[in-house]
Amino acid sequence: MKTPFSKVLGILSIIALFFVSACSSSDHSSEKSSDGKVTIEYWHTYSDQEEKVLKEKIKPMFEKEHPHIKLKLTRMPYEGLKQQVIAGVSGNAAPDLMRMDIIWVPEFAKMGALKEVSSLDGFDNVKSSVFEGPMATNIFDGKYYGVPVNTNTKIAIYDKKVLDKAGVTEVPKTMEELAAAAKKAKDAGAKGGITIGGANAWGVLPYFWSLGGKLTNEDYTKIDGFVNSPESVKALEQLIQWNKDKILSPTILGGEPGAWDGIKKHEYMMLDDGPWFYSVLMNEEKKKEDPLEYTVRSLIPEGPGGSRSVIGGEDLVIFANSKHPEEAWTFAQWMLTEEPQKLMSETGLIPTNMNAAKDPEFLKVPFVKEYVDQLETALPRTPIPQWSEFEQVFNLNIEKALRGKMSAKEALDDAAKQGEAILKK
Amino acid sequence: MYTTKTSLFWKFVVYAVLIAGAAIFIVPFIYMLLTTFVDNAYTLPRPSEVFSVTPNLDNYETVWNRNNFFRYFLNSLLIAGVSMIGSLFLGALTAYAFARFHFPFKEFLFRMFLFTMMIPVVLAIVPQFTVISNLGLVNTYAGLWLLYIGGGVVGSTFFLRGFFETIPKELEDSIRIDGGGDWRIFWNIYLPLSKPALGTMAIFSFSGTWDEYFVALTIIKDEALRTLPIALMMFQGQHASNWAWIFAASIIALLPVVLIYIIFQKHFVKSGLSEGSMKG
Repeated sequence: MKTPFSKVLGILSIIALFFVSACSSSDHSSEKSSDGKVTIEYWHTYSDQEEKVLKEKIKPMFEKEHPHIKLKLTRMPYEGLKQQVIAGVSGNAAPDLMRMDIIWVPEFAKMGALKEVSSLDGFDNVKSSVFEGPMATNIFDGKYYGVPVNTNTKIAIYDKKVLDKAGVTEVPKTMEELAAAAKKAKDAGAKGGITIGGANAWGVLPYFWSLGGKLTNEDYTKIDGFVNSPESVKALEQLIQWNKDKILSPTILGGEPGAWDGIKKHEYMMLDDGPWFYSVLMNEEKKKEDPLEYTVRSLIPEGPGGSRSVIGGEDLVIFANSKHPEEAWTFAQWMLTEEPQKLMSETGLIPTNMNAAKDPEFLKVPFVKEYVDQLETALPRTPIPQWSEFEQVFNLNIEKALRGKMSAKEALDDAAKQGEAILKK
Repeated sequence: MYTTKTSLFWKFVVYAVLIAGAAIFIVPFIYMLLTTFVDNAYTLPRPSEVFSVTPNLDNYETVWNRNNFFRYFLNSLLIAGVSMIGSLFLGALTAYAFARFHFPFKEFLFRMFLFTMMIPVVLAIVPQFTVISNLGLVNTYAGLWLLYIGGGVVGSTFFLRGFFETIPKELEDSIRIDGGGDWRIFWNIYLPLSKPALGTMAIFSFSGTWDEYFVALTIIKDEALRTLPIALMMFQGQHASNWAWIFAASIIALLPVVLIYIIFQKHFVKSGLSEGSMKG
């Protein structure tokens, strides 16, 4: 009985020893290698198609133009990414650069994890070449801690078949028209009218803002009196009424079918979504229908607050403990120039560089025009370090209000009260 | 007549309950398996689509060739294998000490052991990472093994100590008479008699590290050294995920655990080996 077990153990420990030595001898990144090149590590979360462009086009191009810099790309999964960054920062093992969600930048800046970039050479050039909205997502305490690398927003996407069936001939321009069209669609047998992804800020804000609601004052220092202003309460009440009238699709409270599923099967009239709706569904192999054919795009319908969508996207940040901040900044500046921005836009990512976004070639991508138009009036989620915390309160109260557990006023008053306490932290 | 009827009736009830129970457990799994045959599952397919698919291996093939899946599969096999053997072996030694030796602060030490089990991984990750980083073991499997084996030893010690204490002390005497020491007792009596417990623990230990995502992602920085759960997570996109791929990848990831279960399962039934080894 003795031999097999001890043999296996012996063999495994030898393998183990081998691997330990093999791994520990491998060189660490960010060190200057023998050929005098500097390696900078870049964490990103690009999708499969985007990563392909990054690896096959962006990297060789950058390394050719900057022969002394080597770019090391590491793709990170989303799950637990924030904790990964925190562990990296506190353990002094963060990369040099990262492409991170715009709403994280103020939070990490407050932690002292990011390098301030507004005092660096060339910053003004970068700033003047990109859209203002996405740039503003990098501000913390009056200074900039990153540069926007790509942006996006959501627009209204309608299912042609449902519109036809409901007898709606023109795409709704205002919130009233939208509600009326959704009512007709429901009467014509659609499973849902207006499809909101979920009872959360990202899902609800385009409607909340367009219907006149507000989150904070202009310079993001006050929540009380804004998120619970009469206009905000009215906006939320409108959403609650829509939900009662069943013209909202069940997705807002997690019901089935899912948003994309409902549109694909011609069961929902309209949803709001980002350019990935098209870039993902158009790239499906063996797809039955082309989303460009069966949908029609339009701006978020106007309400008392205008046509307000929500800005998403990613910023490029340099970590405070980067060993090669200069080279990292060189890359960040380069990445925001026209050429690389155009390359990345081939995958449907919207450039932040204004010249790249207005390039006729880019606008030829069949679905991007409406997104670029919508960006002119889209708003960022409040760029404050406490956003994620406030967002949780906001999301929970919105859901409670929609489920009838709180009135709109109660929900927003409570959000304001908790929000002010969070702001003071 | 009456009795056979009732017994038949109860048999029927028992079987009905058992079959219903088995169905409840197996149906989601079958559903998952069928979902892996669907094309383009960026939206979760509906039951009607799922139950009308023709089985094919297209998604498995895609998954196997994506995100370095095969490489990560091997990495995980090595990591989980070594961790399992390490934590079982060290755990058994420690449990033997706790079960048979007398030394000061024994119970206190044991409680401290248990205490470390109660700390959630997410809370401990930053200090753990700092320690690993100071040891220069970031981005090495040695660093990962240190954490996995260190964590696993606690569980297996706790589990095996109780088991070892049920083994009659008198069995040791036969070895002592022949002049054998503690090592021989441990190796020739305790380990063979604890096969059911070791088998159970091996499964726990293997599946525990095989599934582990968070620590692995924190310690391992190089894409080439990553483990399978990280590859699984890579299939989840920011805006949309192909569920058929995620499920196909999960099924592949499940296979080694099933295999380990089959290997060690036969040890369960052999429990009670020590019965009759002593004269009452």
